[in-house]
Amino acid sequence: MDCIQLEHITKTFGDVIANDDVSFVIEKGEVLAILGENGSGKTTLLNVLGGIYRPDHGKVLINGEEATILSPKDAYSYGIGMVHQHYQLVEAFTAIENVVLGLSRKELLAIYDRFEEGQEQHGFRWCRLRDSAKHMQTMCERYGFALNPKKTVSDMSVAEKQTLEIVKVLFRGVDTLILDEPTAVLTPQEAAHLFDVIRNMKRDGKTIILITHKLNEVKEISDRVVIMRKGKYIQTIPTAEASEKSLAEAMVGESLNLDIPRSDIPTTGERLEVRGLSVRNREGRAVLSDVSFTLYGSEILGIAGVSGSGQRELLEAIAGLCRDRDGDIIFHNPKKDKPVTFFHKNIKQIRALAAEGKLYFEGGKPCDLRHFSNKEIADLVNQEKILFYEDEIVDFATKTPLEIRNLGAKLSFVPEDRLGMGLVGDMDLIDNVLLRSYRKGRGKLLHKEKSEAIAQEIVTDLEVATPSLSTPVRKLSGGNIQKVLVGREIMSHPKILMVAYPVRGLDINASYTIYHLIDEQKKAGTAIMYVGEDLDAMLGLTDRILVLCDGKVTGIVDSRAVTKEQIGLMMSGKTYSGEANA
Amino acid sequence: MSQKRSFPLYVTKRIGLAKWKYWLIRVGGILLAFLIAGIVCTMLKPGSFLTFYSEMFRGCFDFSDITTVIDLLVTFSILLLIALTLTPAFKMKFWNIGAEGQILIGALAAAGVAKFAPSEWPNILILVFALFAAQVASAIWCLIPGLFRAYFHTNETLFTLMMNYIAAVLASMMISVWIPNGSQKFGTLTQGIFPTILGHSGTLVIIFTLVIFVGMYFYINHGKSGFEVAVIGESVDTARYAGINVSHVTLRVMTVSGLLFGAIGFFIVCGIHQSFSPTIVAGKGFTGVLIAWLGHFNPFEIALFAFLSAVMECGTTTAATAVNISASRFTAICTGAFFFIIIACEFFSRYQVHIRVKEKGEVEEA
Repeated sequence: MDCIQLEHITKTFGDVIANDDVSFVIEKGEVLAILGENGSGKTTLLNVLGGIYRPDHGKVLINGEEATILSPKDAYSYGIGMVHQHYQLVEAFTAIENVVLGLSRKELLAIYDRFEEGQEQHGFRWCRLRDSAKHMQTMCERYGFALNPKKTVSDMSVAEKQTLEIVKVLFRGVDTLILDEPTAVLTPQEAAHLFDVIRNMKRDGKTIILITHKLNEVKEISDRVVIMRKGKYIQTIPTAEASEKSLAEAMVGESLNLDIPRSDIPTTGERLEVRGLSVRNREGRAVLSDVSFTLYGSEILGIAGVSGSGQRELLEAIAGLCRDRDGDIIFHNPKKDKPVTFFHKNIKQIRALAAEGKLYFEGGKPCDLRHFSNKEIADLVNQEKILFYEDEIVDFATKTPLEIRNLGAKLSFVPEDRLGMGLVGDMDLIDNVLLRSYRKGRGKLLHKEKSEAIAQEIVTDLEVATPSLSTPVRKLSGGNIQKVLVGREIMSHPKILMVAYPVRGLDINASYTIYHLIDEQKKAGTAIMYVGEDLDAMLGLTDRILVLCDGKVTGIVDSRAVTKEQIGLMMSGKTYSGEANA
Repeated sequence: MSQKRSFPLYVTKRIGLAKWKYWLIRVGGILLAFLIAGIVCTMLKPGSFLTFYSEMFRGCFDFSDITTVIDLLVTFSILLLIALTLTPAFKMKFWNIGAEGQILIGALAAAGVAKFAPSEWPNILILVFALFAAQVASAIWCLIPGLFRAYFHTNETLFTLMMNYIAAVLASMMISVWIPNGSQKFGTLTQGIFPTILGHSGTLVIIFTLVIFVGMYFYINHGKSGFEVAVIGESVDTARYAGINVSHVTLRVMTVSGLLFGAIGFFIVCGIHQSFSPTIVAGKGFTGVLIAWLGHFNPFEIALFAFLSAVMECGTTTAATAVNISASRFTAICTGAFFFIIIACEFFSRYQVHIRVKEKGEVEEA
């Protein structure tokens, strides 16, 4: 019997049950997909097999015999290797150095024996880096990997690093390969190449276990699907008998509506104009060069690109978080015929605006405030009698985040790392809401009342599942954390909303809630920039897509008239001629 | 098959330890520390076990001699002040372990002013000047590592540690300059000193401490600046995204630390000792670091640990003198044991040690 059996595996962390009595069989030579939402225990389960965790209960049978896997080394001895979602490579080392890392002379020679099968051995055997490199090359050719053994990891692209991880595992002679979310960071083309490699490995008799939450991948590559939900094993389905919808429903446990909303409404004038924006990082290297685009109200502009192509820098530059930048970032505050308020302007600023002839009285008379006392101006402003002639034009390029906020530009930013950039995990909901407005109010002490009300509103409106407002946000689930963050940002009624990877790590239902929230904001007239990695979702949600490659714009296209493949090509540097007009 | 070596003990992380259990561990640790102090004393002087505790109690809470109690409270106040002053910096993960030097430099400045101020000046004026000089000196000592951290991302731990030694050498040098006869004795201050209240010159320090404690409580828990500090400590990026200028806050916190450390140096020189020596801070700057950390940056918890270590220090000093053993060394042993055990408690409250029971089928295979 050639197979791996998992029997009654249970693994708990404190009172969190990551795996609850999971049993199934992995057949030799198949591609088995483990499908489940984030937090359903897929990775934990396969970490048991890969020697990272020991199960609390249950056992692993390999070819019918009980196996004791206490470390990744033990796993290798059973021919099981795992490629983790977060790569385990030494950045300063070359490819081959990473491959042989941790192997003793004895182990290396055993590996060489495998490569030099049939060759006669005599005398002293070398075990040099270049010998290993030679064998690595042979192996790469066999599976169709393109990898230079002498290349340093820090110089590699994400796809190369992943290839290296796979090579590292294959080099050790495994026949069962576990891949944890392998396509999460790849372009569609790179993912397709990975699938070719997986097919090659399968042809070579290897067993491949693919951990994923992407349905299309499951359909494309796997033979059978194991579905997990909330730490429990649900069922195994032969892939041929399943549809994406049935898989999704099995994964979530309820019926789903997988339509991404996109309201077709006219745009409402330009909000943000970016011209010739270039950004350099700390080392002075250009991470964004000559980016230009215009963003309109009631529009969602998707930003696509391989991770690290400058998406984050683009948003940070607009938010005023990058210091070293050139170019113009011009914000059009839609103030035409709207009253001046004390929300963001003080008397002095209002006097200055009036002197520049930018204001008029209700009824059409030009506004000249030279003969008015402060008190009279205050009364007029409070009665909303003083109006703007035109939209207010603000140049962000020279401003700090605080100045941008003080200008009343109402820019909201939902950064990619929810707890590392957007929220403070150990603080409760109120304090996290307070983070956006704590400077307001008199004196040196905090005023929490308003934040408490807003936090309550977020919890009620967005249906955040939380025991109380004073629960540290870290204790909430990913989806609820994201609701708190997005909620906090949209509660300030932004004119521009920037969201980076808003559904990363969220389950399907939570993802759709977030899509709907974003679409609601679009309907409210907000100009939205959306950075995402799931191209299908981006095509469905956005109006236009700007594609970045190595910090350069390779195209701005109409989402309704472009295919995923075209976007993929642009992501890898091909420019696309069919520019979209908004 | 590969070898399987397993150590007979293994450690797992505790999740969700109940508060009362945590405090039970801590109280157990504290009692153990006091027990060990008694055992060490008995080892040095056989038969002194019970005398040790009665003397220790007398050294702290002898209400017939109010100066004993004030002594205890003054020690407590200084430890509390140091730990509180360190708290904002620690909360923003600025690991300032240079309190010793930062206080010493303030003390040096205060001593200089108090010694050399014209004797016709009224005492209060000399005190104000001494305080001012101490605060300026300490603020400079705090701002140097602060500036380097804010603008060059220098490691503040090593930097502040080194500054301690510079401060100590500077203090010795200044004494040689001030007292040219080579005796290295600063002598007792005759001007610029706190009034003696209830038979103790440090009584006012206790009152000032109370005021600073209240201020610090509000700063940490209800202040806008304290909020910024907490956010930075949790995540620098979140702070940055919220528009907080991390460099500015670092400098602000270090300035505030400097002003308070200056005041502490001033209290020590003009209030408590009315004299100066390069060892006048006596390691309290380091003890303060431990107390701030053990108190989880919570003012009340800090106060508790400051009080316990003050009891340990004053009590063991009296007890050692009573049973006739070297007080300074004995106190050092006891305080060391105390902190060692409390820190061990932190470990045991976060992790659980298990003994590995050999399972069936897990037979040793070499």
